[in-house]
Amino acid sequence: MPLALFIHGGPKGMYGYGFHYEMQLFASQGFIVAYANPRGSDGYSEEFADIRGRYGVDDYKQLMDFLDRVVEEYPVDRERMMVTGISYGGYMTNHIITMTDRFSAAVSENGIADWISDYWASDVGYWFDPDQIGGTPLDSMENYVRASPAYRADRVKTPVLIIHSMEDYRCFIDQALAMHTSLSVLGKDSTLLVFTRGSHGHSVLASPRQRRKRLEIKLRWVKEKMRLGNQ
Amino acid sequence: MAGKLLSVDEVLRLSRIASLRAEPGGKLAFTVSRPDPESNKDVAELVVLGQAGVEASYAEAGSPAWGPEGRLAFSSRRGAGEKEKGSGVYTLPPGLRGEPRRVAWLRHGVWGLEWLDDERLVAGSSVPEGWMYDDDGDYVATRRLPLWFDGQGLVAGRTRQLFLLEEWSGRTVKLTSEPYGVSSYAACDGNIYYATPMDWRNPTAHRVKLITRGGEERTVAEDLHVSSIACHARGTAIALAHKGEIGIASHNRLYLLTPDGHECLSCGSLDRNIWGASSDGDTIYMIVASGGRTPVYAFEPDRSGLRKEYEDDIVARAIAAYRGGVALIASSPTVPPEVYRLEGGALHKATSYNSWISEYSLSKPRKITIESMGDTVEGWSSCLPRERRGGRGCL
Repeated sequence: MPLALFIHGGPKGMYGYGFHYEMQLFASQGFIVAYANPRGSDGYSEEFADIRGRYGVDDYKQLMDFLDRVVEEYPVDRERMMVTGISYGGYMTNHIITMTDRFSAAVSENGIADWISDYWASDVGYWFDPDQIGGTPLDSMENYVRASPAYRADRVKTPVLIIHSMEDYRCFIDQALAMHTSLSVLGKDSTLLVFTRGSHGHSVLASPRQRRKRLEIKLRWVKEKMRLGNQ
Repeated sequence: MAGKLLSVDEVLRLSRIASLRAEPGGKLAFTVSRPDPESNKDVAELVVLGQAGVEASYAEAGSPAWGPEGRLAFSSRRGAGEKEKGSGVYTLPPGLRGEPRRVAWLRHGVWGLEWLDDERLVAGSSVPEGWMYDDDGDYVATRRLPLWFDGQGLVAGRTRQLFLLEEWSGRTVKLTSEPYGVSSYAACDGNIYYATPMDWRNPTAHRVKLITRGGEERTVAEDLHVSSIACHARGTAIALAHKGEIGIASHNRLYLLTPDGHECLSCGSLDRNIWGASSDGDTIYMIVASGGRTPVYAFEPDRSGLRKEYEDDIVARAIAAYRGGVALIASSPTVPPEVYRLEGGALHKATSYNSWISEYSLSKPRKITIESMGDTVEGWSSCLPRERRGGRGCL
C-alpha cells in the first residue's frame, strides 16, 4: 500500500488524537497514513520542545526512524511513499527531499526554503529566526544557509509539488519561488501551484472553492507521480 | 458493515466551531461556520446553547460575550452594505428576549468584546495611523516593525486598541494608546487587564497593564510573553504566559494577575504547555497538551492545587468554565470538532454538527513509540481495515 507521511506545523505543533480530515481523506484513498511528534513538538516536556539551532537535524532523524518502524509493521509499498506538510511541515518536506530519495512524491505547502529571505520578509522573521535558527543573516549566515533546503536543491531526486498562497505573510511567497526556482534551474521535477488569494492558513480558511481545488489538485498530482491510478 | 469512503465533497461539508464562551449558569455561546458552495463563502452563525438544546441563533455574528444577568453582546455586520466598513456591537437583554440592539459601530472592526460592568463594554478595534493606513486598502505603510498580519492582510498602518462602549448611549471612548497596540485583554469586575508588546525588537515580550475600576493605570507584569488573559475572581485575572525560558517556544504557564502584581501558579508543578484556561470564579480549568491528547486539569489556588480532571483520546482546542462544569470544543480521531460538556467527571457531547460523518469509514490511529537520538518519540499510523476498502485495506 502507498504511504503518506504528514508533518505538522510549528515546529511546536502536536499530532495525536484530534480529527485530521486530510489524513482521513488519504486513508480513504488507500494510503497508510503516518505522523509523529519529533523533537520540537508540543505535548511533552519543555526541554523536548527546544530545537533551537537543530532544525533539520534531530527532527529529520527522528521522523526517518519513525518511518522505518512504520514500514516494518505495515504492508507499505516502499516504492510508493510520499511526504507532505504545511508551514514548518512544508519546510521539513523541502528539507527531507534534500536528504533522502526514499519518497516518490513530496507536497510542500506554505513552507520555508530559504531562511535568509525569511528573516527579511516574514512578518515574524526578524525575531523568530534569530531565536530558532541562531543569529541573523548579517552575523550568522552559515546557520541560515545550513538550514535552508533551497541551497541543496542539487541533491533532490523526488518530484515535488509546491503549494503556496499569495497572501501568506508568515511564510512569504518568496519561499515557494526559491524552492521552485532552485529545483527548476537544475532540471528537477518541480510543480508550483500558487493560489492568488489566501493567508498562511488558507488550507482551512480560504474560500470553499479554493479549499476544494487544493485538495483535488494535491490528490491528483500525488496519484500521478506515484502511479496509483484511481484507487 | 462497511461505511462509505470519504471524498473531497465530504471534507468540504465539515462545519467549524469557534469562539466558545460560557455564562456562569452554563449557557454557552459559540460560532458555527458552514461552507456555502453557492456563495463560495463560509457562513457563520452565533449559537446559544442551554442544557436542553439550542435557545437562539444569530446569523453573521461573532465575538460573543456574556454579561451580567445573562445578557449577551456580540459583533456583527448584519444589515451592513458590501461597501460599509467595520462591524457593529449588539446586545441582548437578560433572557435574550427580543431583537439584538446595535450599541455601536466600529469602523475598523471588532476583535474582542468584554462586559466591564452592567452598563459598559470593552471592545478591541483597530486605530488607523493617519495616511499610513489607506481606507481603500490600496496600500499599507509603516515607519517601523513589526509588519503583522491578522489573517485578513497586513496590519501595518494601524494598531489594535481598546474602546469603552456605553450600552445605553452608544458613546464610544478610546481607552488605550499603546504604541505597539494591545494583543490580549480581559475585563474583570471593573478592572481591565491588557498585554502590550514592550519593544518592537521582541514583540512577544509584553507589559501587562491594569486600568482599575477607578481609572488608575498601573503595570502588573513585565517581560511576560502573554498568549491570553481571562477573568478569575474578585477583580483578578489569569494569564497563559511564559518568560522565554527556552525562547519563543517556551511552554505557557498559568499566571495570576492581581492589582498588586503577578504570580505563577503552575511553575514547578506542570512541565507541559497549557493551551487554554478558564475560571468559574473559584476553580481554574485548563487544557494541557500532553502526548497527543489534551487532558483537562483543575487548579484551586486556595485549596488542593493542581489535579487532572479528565483525560481521554481527544484533543480540545477551546475551554470555557461555568458553575458545575466545563465546555470544550474537542475532536477525536473519528469525530470532527463538536462542543462537549464535562460535568461530574463525565464528558457529554452537546452538539452534532458533523455527526453525519459517522456514515463514512474512518481510520483509527495506532500509536507507535520509538527511541531516537536519546528521545522517546511518539507517532501514529492509520489506515482503513481491509474489509472497508473492498479487500485493499491494510490490516
